[in-house]
Amino acid sequence: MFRRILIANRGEIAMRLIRCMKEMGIESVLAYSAEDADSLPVQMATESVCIGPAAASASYLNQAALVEAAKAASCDAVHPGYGFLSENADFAALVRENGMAFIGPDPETIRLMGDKEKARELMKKNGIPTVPGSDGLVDTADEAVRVADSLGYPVLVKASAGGGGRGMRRASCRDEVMAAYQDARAEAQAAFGDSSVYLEKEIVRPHHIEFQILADRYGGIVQLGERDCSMQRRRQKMIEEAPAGCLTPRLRAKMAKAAITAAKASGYVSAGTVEFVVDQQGNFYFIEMNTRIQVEHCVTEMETGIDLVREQIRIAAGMKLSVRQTDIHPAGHTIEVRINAEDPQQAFAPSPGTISFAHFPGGGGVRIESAVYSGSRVSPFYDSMIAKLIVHAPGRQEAIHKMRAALEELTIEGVRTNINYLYLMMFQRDYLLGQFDTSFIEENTEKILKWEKACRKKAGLTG
Amino acid sequence: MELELTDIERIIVLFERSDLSELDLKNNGQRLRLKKAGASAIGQEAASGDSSNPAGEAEAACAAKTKNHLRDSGCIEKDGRSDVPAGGMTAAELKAPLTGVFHTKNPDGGLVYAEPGKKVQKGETVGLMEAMKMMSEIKAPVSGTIVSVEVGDADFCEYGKVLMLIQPDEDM
Repeated sequence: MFRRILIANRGEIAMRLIRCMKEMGIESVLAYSAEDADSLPVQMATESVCIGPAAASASYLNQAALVEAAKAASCDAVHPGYGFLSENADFAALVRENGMAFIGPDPETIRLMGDKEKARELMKKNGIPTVPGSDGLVDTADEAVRVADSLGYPVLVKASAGGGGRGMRRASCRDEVMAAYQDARAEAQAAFGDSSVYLEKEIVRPHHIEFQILADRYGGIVQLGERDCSMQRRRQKMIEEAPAGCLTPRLRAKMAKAAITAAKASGYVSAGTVEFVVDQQGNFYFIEMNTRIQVEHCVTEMETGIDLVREQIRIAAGMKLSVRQTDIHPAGHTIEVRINAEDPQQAFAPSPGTISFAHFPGGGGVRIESAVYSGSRVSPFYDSMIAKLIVHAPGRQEAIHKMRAALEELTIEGVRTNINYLYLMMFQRDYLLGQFDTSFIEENTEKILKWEKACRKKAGLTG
Repeated sequence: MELELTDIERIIVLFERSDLSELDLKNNGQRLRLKKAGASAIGQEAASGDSSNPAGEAEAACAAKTKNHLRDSGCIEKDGRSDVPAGGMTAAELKAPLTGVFHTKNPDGGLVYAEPGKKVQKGETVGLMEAMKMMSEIKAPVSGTIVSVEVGDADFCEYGKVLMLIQPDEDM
């Protein structure tokens, strides 16, 4: 087992990793930027090392600095968390070349799954349904129009080097295809340095359903059930839950099998997620695979009682999975909300600053993942998520009641947050009925913001 | 150009910091006379290698100087305050602008970049920072003399670590 691991990340996921390592008796070395010098992870890790200034490009994305720091601190392994370098095959390779384990899949797997078009082709070859789309990359605007016509509208032009909802353009009719194609290629080149694109039919009003998988180096592969991540705003997840109410047991079983096939086909090792969309007719299609631990991994942990980060570390250390498929029994209902330092009333503008006071709820079935403390700062240099609030209860309605109580108690002062917005969402009729898809948040935000204003007015609150 | 109140305030501050005991300034019909009573009230603190407040000590040390320092010497301030003229004789800290392994002498040829007593010019290489087999030159921010080297050759240095202290040259 590793003695010492370098954590190349920050915020709530750094806390998650530090806590798991403490439990396992592993020393943590936290690499931080000067901006995060006063952060909680720096104080809680066994050791910490400053690897650069505030800008992520010079710190959390600085591969050379991170590897040098890991070596200097005699680390056996590096955990990249999520985001930043977690899906950077070069970084994974660099870590290995320097004699340390990378806690994640092999560089080749990261590279393969990072090429969204190649990943699609691999799944097609293995009999996994993929969204109807182009046969490979689309190299000319004329071809794009031809393919779009044959698929039927609307279509999405997607960057092969993209993923996570980035580098996509929509065309709802033939006239829009040229512009969408050219824009997508330009944005892909600028954002990823690779202008390769492919086309997919846009599934209208889909559910975004993803399956968690774990795989070790001995052929052990398990799937830990699904998460419904349809509650998104601009392709950023806001609320996740499990199980997914739109899946029949039969559909769930088919998708679970596809997730395992995807893991096998890609030679996957470590924790990963297979993403699907499910259309209104109950058909499912592979979208992409995420080769990292994800923000919403806690939802699956609450459902199954399995510590995914612990499994990741064990797998990377050459151990077998601690569970078999027959040991995995998702139970009850789990909901996670992402608490962001942003102002929904101001178009969700980020609200950096100092958190003057923070109080987190507690009690049975209530889990907080955060690096916030009274007096801590929310930096404008990084993303605005400051905490995850996860609740687990025997059923969905009970989970919603528990979430309401937890959000009522949760108090963050000093910065704007989406807490009130999330709270009101927990009273939205269609959300309560489980009738939502990926367009739900966009379609209901205005209503919720109006409601919040009215509530505040009634309560005599200003500002 | 008439002296405004803010000009006068500034002149008073500079006068106080300098070693001048009297100042008689005439300007377009205005006249300003300043005189210090007895010895300077600001103590003379020797510039020390491990100064923890170079900005504050710079003010004190100015009083001990025979010349008036009005320009920022270009040294990296510990707390980043550049509105305080840093022209004192306090040694400035050179902090690591990168993370990596710091070489005080060239690993190949043994040419020594940094050692106590070495005189350096602004922009001269005073060390190499190595990360993943890539070398970056660390340059002296001021002309002066290296007072002390705070890290050993081939030590790992985190971003912001104090590498050495450089005593800036007196201004001309």
